[in-house]
Amino acid sequence: MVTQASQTQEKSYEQSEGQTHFGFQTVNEEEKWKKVHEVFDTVAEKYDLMNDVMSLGIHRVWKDIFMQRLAPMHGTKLLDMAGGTGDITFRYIKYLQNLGPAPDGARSSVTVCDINQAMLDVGKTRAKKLGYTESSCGVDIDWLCGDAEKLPIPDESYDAYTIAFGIRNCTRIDKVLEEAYRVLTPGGRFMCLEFSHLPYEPLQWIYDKYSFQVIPVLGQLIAGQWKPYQYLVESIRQFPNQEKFKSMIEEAGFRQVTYENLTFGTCAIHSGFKI
Amino acid sequence: MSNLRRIIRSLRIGHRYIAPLVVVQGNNVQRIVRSYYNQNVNKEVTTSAITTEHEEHQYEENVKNRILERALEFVTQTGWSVESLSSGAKTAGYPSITHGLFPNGGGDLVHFFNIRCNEQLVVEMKTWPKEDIKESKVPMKFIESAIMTRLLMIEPYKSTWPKAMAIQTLPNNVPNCLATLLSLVDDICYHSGDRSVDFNWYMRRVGLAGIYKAAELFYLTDSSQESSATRSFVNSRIRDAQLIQTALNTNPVSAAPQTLTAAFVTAKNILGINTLK
Repeated sequence: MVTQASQTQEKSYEQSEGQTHFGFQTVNEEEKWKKVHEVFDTVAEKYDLMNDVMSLGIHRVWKDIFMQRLAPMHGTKLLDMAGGTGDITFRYIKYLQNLGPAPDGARSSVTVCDINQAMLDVGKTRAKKLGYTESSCGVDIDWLCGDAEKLPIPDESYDAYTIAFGIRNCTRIDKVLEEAYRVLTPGGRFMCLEFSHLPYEPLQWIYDKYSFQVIPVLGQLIAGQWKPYQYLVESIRQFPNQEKFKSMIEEAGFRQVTYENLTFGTCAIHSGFKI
Repeated sequence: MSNLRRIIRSLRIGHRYIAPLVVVQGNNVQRIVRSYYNQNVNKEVTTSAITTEHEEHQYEENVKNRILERALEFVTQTGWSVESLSSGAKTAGYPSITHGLFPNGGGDLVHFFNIRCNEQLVVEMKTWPKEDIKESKVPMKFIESAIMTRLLMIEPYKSTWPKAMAIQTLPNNVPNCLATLLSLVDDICYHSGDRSVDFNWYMRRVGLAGIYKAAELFYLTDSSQESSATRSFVNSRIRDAQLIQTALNTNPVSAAPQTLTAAFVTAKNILGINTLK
């Protein structure tokens, strides 16, 4: 009896240790990394267009609200993790510009970090197209290709850490949060925008139907890809819900952790402070 | 190595579980021992969770209060705003982005200021001589000086106070604002010696809240020497309240028909259906 029980225990233990999920499939951790990489290599070009189509443009509003909540000031040092195509970064620059001219000595900066060079390249081209150069916008922009689970960044070097629609694709969320805690200065803020779960059953049902029946089709029609979008909707379902994710952030050491639902909970903004 | 240490520790902690483990061999021993060990750890955590949670909360509050305290220094320049909060965070040794700790922005700063002033007032009131409260007599001097002391605490921020009053009327700040106002008048009533348990309890507090808010508005535009105009304004409002109270206290049963008729006539006048015209 005892032996049997311990064997099943061992099995589940191993699964949670070395393996993870890629959408609804269970894969090795290394395999997930490779697969996610492939997904974003293939979608990079059409990424922004597809975001608009799938969310009916609402993702722009979510990102605007996200930046409103962060409310950066002149002199802020932001690390925009998984910020490949620069959506958050450009909003950050715009927000600072709207604040008026910076006081003397307060130079703001942003580091766009992404694991995928293809996405960063798209972001760089967009920055050029929008005319965001360091001299014109008054904000230092760095582009960095790095893994959120082991950042090539010294301790306590940023005031704010944002990750929008990125943490879901990371293999080990706890490690990402630990790294975020490490690179933030005391008083620094962690903010995460991510798809989440709807608290009302009927709405979740509608949302599920839309996700599984419509989105992959749109992917096939517009981007010519079915699988990456299948993965997208599956990975949203696998991501922990608001409360669970909140407790994960707290476990990483953050305090004053709160979350706010957007559009009935389709998305959630989680926020925590290193104090 | 760490596994070995764990086993030794868990054997020490969970000695009563050793017996059945002897039957199982090899790798499984480790697993079960560890799971018992984990159970023990969990138990320890839950017993200490309550105290640490309280400490955590206290720690967070302390950080917030420190930032708010510093932010008050900037109010005269940048007002009751996010700018003041982020300057406060900076002088407290945090990056400016820490102002996000206060999602209500200026509202939180005003709330903090109100609470602090109320506490200060209570400390001061405790040292004042108490007047006895009687049925018809209002402890006028006590209430007057309480209101004036509290109003004069706004003095350093007088130029920005209209903005603060406006912020307090924003829907998301109203609950906090009412709570601080009620605790203020409650403190004043209590320390002035009010121990009533009847309907007067409410009358006094609501009346006092009205007087305080009216005086606050009056004070904003008062440019007289040492705010003497506000003082006399407060004085006459308290006298009004006293008159009302005396009127209410004069044998309510015999006064009832008169009051009712008056009320009806007034209502008819307002509606324009007064036939006696």
